[in-house]
Amino acid sequence: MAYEVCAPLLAHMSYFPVLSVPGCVGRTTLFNFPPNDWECKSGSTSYVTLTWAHNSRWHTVIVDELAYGANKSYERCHLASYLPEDSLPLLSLASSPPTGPTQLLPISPHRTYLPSWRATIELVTPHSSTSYQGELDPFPVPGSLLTLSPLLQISDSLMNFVLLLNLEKFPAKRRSMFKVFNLSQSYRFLREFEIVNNSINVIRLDNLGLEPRDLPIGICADMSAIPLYLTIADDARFLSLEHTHPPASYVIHGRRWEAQRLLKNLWFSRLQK
Amino acid sequence: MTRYLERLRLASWKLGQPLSRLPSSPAAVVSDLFIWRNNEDYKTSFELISLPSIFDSQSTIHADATIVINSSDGVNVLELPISFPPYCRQTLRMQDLIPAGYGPYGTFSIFHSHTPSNIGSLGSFLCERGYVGYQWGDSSVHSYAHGNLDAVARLDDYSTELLGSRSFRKRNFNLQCKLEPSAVYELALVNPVPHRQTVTFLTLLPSGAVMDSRSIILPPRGSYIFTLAPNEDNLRLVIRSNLVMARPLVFKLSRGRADVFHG
Repeated sequence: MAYEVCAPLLAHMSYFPVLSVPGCVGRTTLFNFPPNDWECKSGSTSYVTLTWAHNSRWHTVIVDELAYGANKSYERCHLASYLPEDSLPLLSLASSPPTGPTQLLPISPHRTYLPSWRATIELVTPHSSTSYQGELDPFPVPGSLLTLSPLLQISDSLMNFVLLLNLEKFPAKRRSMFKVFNLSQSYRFLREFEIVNNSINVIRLDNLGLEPRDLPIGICADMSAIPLYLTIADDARFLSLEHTHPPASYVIHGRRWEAQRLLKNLWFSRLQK
Repeated sequence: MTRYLERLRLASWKLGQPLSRLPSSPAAVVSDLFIWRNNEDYKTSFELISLPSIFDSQSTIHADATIVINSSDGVNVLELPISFPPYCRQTLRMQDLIPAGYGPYGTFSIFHSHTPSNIGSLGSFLCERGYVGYQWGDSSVHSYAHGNLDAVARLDDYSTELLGSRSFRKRNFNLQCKLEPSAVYELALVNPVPHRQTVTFLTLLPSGAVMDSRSIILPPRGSYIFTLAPNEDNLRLVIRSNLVMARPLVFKLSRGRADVFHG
């Protein structure tokens, strides 16, 4: 069995989503080898599993096997026969076959921390591609979100999106609102957008009246997400994709999660007046 | 018993070898060692926002920071104070700041004026891990990469202190990236440790056999860009060093486009 030594000591295994954005193809590349040589000492062929939420249950199937040391890329079209239309495909690597439909998201052992075991999560157009190394773990419920973005590239010839990627242990669908403000104009409210859990929410950020030096801030009071900022040049020849940090990353050492709570309390009270 | 032995084994890789050490002054502010690239192919920018103002419970009207620029061999070539409005985004164009004659790449850090008191009271330090934009060729888009490493502290006497620690033993960073023969990969690595580090880039065949090996010496605050043009499928790259996590910034050049991401 793969990783029988380190698995029981560690937390849970991450998922690797396949993104969906209009005009782009999502492609996710899995790696069946660890990112370092000291946290996991053994390895073997792993199952590639696909998990999705449907009818308030999590469903998981084996879609492939990956030899130790190998990598392989998957697009939604490779997985479409399993998936309901609007579901978020979640790939993972597993050492044992999945069980039947479950009420909670299946969790397997995490394998490394320095760095985390990641996949290449990519968006591809006929002319270009953009990617980040990432993983997705379930957020606490209800959770919250605060994102400050200096990543928008304001220009008439560019399109800007925020992709809010959410995963929760519970498969039942719930909705919330993502509100965007302009920090540079006395926290002026710009617009709100409905978002859904266990999915990738694609939100266009152009036409909100933002200027190049403006700093937008987005909040959601009861749902967490990874905010991915995507810029597409008008002919899709050039792309950029990057996530913003959780607010705890603005500080190091000490009680940094308290710093995150402090920051969220400050801005939620300021913006929701 | 097996679990106990495994914990013991992992402890030998972790104890006394933190990714980032505690700064020696409680008033310190911290920054990544960001990579700048500046030549006819690459332009670099940094998206500066005032982090102290974000934490301040009172609105402020003025923010200050200092940018420190290093050459690839770790020599400080420029230190420049910057004043800017606190709730706006300030795009720093590195080509306007880097003095001539310091080569095509190096590192820089952004130090904010102070760690706000509400953060300091938690035993924490303000840290700039912000967003660097790279423009390659005729691209109309900045390819952004976030900061990744809490690498260097600026103390209250304005001196700086590298926060990286050395691993007791050599360790491998296995790049989880599909290396395509149609692309060229440039891997940028920095040294956040206050000692010179020997770093070996190993290119492995699918069998795991070493196809190529190149060793370099990275001075403190120094940086190096390793270029790899794979000539076959399924090659792998390993970075071997005493750095606790030798995670590179990857520039993938393909079809006339650049994709920039952390390895």
